[in-house]
Parts: sequence; structure tokens; C-alpha cells
Amino acid sequence: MKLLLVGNPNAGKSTLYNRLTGGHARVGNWHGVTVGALEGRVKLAGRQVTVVDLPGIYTPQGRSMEERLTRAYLDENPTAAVLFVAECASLPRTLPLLFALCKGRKTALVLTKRRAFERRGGRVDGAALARRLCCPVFFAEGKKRDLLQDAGRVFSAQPLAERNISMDGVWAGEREALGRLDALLMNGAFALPFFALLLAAAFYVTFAPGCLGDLLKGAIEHLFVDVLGGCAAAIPSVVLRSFVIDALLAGLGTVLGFLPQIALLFFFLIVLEESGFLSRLAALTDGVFAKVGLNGRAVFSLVMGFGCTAAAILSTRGLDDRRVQRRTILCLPYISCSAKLPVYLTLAASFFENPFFAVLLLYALGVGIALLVAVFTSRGPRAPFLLELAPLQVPKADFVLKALLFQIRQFIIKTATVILVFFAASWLLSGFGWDFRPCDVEDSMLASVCTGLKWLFAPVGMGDWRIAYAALSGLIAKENVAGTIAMFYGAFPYGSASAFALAVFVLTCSPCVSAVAASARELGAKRAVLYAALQTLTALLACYLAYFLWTGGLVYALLLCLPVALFLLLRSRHESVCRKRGHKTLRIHR
Amino acid sequence: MCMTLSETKRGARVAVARVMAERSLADRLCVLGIRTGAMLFVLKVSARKKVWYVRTPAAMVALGAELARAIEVTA
Repeated sequence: MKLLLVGNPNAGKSTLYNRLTGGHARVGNWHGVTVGALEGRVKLAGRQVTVVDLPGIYTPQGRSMEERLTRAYLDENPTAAVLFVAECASLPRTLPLLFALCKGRKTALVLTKRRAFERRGGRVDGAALARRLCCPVFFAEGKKRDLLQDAGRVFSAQPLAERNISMDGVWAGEREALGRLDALLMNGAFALPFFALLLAAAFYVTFAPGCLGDLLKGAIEHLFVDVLGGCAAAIPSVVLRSFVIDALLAGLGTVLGFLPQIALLFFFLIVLEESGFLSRLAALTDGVFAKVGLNGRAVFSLVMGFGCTAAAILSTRGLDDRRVQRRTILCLPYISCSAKLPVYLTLAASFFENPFFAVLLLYALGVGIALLVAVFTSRGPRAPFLLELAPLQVPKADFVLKALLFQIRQFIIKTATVILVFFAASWLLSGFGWDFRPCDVEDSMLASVCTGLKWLFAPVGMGDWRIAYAALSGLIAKENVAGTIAMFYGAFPYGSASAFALAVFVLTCSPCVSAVAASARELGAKRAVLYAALQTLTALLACYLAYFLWTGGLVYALLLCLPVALFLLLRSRHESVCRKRGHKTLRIHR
Repeated sequence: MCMTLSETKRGARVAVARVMAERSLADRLCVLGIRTGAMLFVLKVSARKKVWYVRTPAAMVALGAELARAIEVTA
């Protein structure tokens, strides 16, 4: 006995097939047509039945090869029962197909995607529809036991007769017009300022003195410095006491102190993503992003970059245009991730009384630089913009909590592994000489290896190898910078100009190794390493430029801009030569 | 009367006559419910006619102007 699943493509036939048969199937070629029908066995109404999942069909005649197979299969199996699968939303237009294909057969109508249809304001009365059609009607979204029972009713149904039925009282279409909130969030004049306000509010709650993030950070600092520090002071062994106080409490403790603020940031990002607002934002910003060579879909990755650069780089896989993906990956390191937050907050007190404004400035600077990079690397046409808008919803509390706990766990694991190992190694190398005896930091192993680095930041008033070491430790994990400064100095020892310059260096430097690895997965190892090296070099130049601008050294700043201006001039000249001579020259130049 | 989706206005209810896009893009549009014969409802057109928001049988979709010009529809 055969039961055929028939309906429009994407109506849910295969999903129903898998639910009925458990997904155990064999593909059978039929009548020499290359496209096959899926067959599986199931027990329905006390008998073994072969369920056949046929390709979707739009019209009774069938134009494509798959549709012709379905038509031919139906013609060759006149006694087979049919489960006609239709989406609730498109019921009125699929009923004529139901009668055209199933007239005279034992048929049941299976309605799919009911929940989504009702959520959009649609209504369908299955029982009333069954009375009008004089055949069983049921929904595919029930429990498996009920589904099997309902599907078995088709064998006791009367053959379907063609009827002229009215949908009044039986089916009401979904709300076609936009809901009020949706209409507001698709209006650029409202939605963009609303998003900016949301972001500012999120930052304020997280960073502003006296707000939730700051209070929680203070509580953790009190725990580490006063409580645990007091306990550590009682350790009898000098070496162990130094390790606990300098490496663990100072270094690791500084990083862990920022956990509440990082958690708050992730909370806002998760809620933003789950609410469905981001997809509307992507559509609204597509025009702006198009001008800089990106597209609106890149907004997902860019917003995710505020959380974690590595995850944001991996999310660029969703971009269908390879060039836009590459450009987005180039921009992402300049979006300040949560790991840079400890560094900003450590340095912010030196150049701004209110750390909220300092952090806001650095975040805004990062976004501006990211867009500039997109402009400079913009070339060629981009793929057309196409995006499915996620439904607007209040994020489920349990989902948000689960996602947030995952991020917190990832942060703690990273701190307890990579960062702990780094601080332990730094403490050892900076506290002991080559003979492994305790010594002053200037006579340590680390000093002898890194003393040459002191020239790196000398132009910005920080001629100390320890600062250079701290800055470059961010290449492993950005959190290391803040912890290393705390380990060597306690508080940042230089003035506002140097603090700002170092913050700019951290902002514009190559991302951490995890992000470079993610970049290598998407772009290839050579390109990822090249980008990382170029970003570190330009970060150094940006650091010097920031310092000269802050201290009023305009002449030095202009001299620094000369190589960049020269590079841009040569590049545009090269491009105009290529344009005049055509593609051949472009290939030769490469 | 045949026209492209880019010529429709907010509130228009149209049927897709033809999708003039390369295979991979046409497949994506099909998955989102934009295929020959599908009914579309134009929810909104952005102020500078850069993005068309349409409701398809499968989803709510935002399309750029270039794509809207590649979809032929009938009223």
C-alpha cells in the first residue's frame, strides 16, 4: 500500500516524511527519469505502508523534470492514497492544485507552518475546512503519535470530489501590513538614532562611574586587593608570596575585575541580536555601507565585533560576496572587542576624568577607522543585497541566560589558561635572572631579551621596554596588556598623551592570535599573517600620530602622514593606469 | 501588466512572473519564497528607493534596488 506526499516545493513534505518514517529511506529511480522519489516504510492504521516523498509541483502539468516525475508517479499509481501538504499561508492558491491532482483519490490535507502563520495574524480552522472539503485535515506540527494516527485516517477517507468552496470563516490571511513597532524600526529617521541611544545607554550602564558595571568591578577589586591580598601577605615563602601577589592577584586579578563589565556588554549584544532588531538595522544601513564597499549584512559581523573579533570573523561566512567578506575581515580588528575594554579602562583614567567618555571616544574612533579602511579597500561591484528579516520578539530569558553564561565561561576559561600561563611566564622571566635566582626586573631574563624594545614607544614618551612588552603581549590576548601593566607598575605611570597613544596602538594593532587564526581559516594563512603584520606596523604609526596630535606636534604629525599620502597617491596613479590600459595591464601588474 | 518589483509601491500585491538572476541567487530567492507564481506583498519601500521590504509566502525579506529590478511581477 502506498501513501504519496504531494505539494508545492518547500511546503514541508520532506519534514513530514522524516517525521513519519524516522528519516530511514532509500532513493528509488522511477521510469528512467533521473530525479528520484524518496521511499520509506511506516505502520499506519495497523498496516505497513510505503510512504513516498515526491518532488514539489506547482502546476498540474508540471514544467520541470521533477514536476513531470511527480505527475507521472501519480498517473501510474491511481489507487495510492495521497497526503497533500500545503502551507497555511498559501492555502487558497494551493486548493485548485489539490483538486487537480487528487480528484478521485483517498486524500488528506496536511497543513504546515501553522505557528508562524498564526504569529503573523493568520487563522485557519482545520475542523471546518475538513467539513467543507469532506476529507481529513490535520496539522503537521502535532506530536508524532497523533501525526501517525491522523495520517492513518486517509485510508478510511472517501475519494476526493472537486468542490467550489469558500474560505470565509475557515481561513483568514495573515496581517499583511507591518506592525506598529516594525514600521517604526524600519524607519531610518527613528531606528538609527534609537540604535545610537541604545548603544550609548548600554555603554553608560557598563562603564560610567557609579553605574552597575563600575560597582560590580569595584566589588571584585575589593575582593582581590583587600581580601585575597591580605591573605596572600601572610604567605611565609617570599617567592610564592611574590607569585600570588604580583602574577595572580595583580595580573590575573586585574583581568578578572573586568568580568562584570564584559558580561554586561555581552548581555546587551545578545538581547540586540535575539530581538530581531539587527536584521532591520542591516537593511537600513545597507545604503551607507554600500558607499564604503560593504553591505548591510556586514552589520551583524561588525556588531558582533564589539563582543569578540574571532567570532565576528567567523560570522562573515554568511556574506555571499567574497570581496565584501575580505573587506569586513580587514575592518573588524578596528572594532573594539570586549578584550580591549580592560586596557581602555586602565588607561582612560590618565586622559579623561570620566572613563565613560574616554571609552566612548575610543570606540567611536575604532568604528571611524574601520569605515576608512573599508573605503580604501573598496573596489569593484558588490553582490545584490538580500536579507530575510528575523521576526521581532522579546528575547527569551532562558536563551539569553544560556548565551551569557557561555560567554562568561569562555572568558573564565581563557583567563584561567592562556592568560594565567602568560602571567606566570612573565612573572618568572621578569623576576629571575638566567641563573634562576630572584633579581631586580632590570637584571631579569625578560629584560635582557626585551631591552631593545624600549625604542618602540620612546617617541611617545614611554622609553621603557616593559611598556613595549605589555603592548605587544596584546598580540596573544588583549587582556594581557592591562594585566601586564598592573604587574609591572600597579597603575599606569605615564601622562595623558602617552596613555592616549598606547590606547590608539591597542585599538589599531593586529587582533589576538585567536582572531588571526579565524582570519587564516577564511582568507588563508599567508594573507592573515600579512594583514596582522601590516596592522601592527600601521598601529605603531597611528600611535605616534595620536601622540603628536595630542601634544601639538603638528610638524611631526604631518611628516608621519607623508608616507601614507605617498602610498595613496601611488595607488591611485596605478589604478588610473590600469583603467586606461584595461584588464591585461591589471594582470601584468599583479 | 508586467513590471519589475522596483516599480511597485507600498501596499502593492503582486505575483512573480520571472526572476532574472543567476542560478545560485535564484535558488536563494526561491528558498525565501520569491519564485514564479508566488504572491508578494510590498510592505515598505525605503525613502531613497534603495531597499524593498516584501512579505513572501515564506518570510519577510529585504531586497536591494538591483535585485528588485531583476524580479518581474504582475499586478
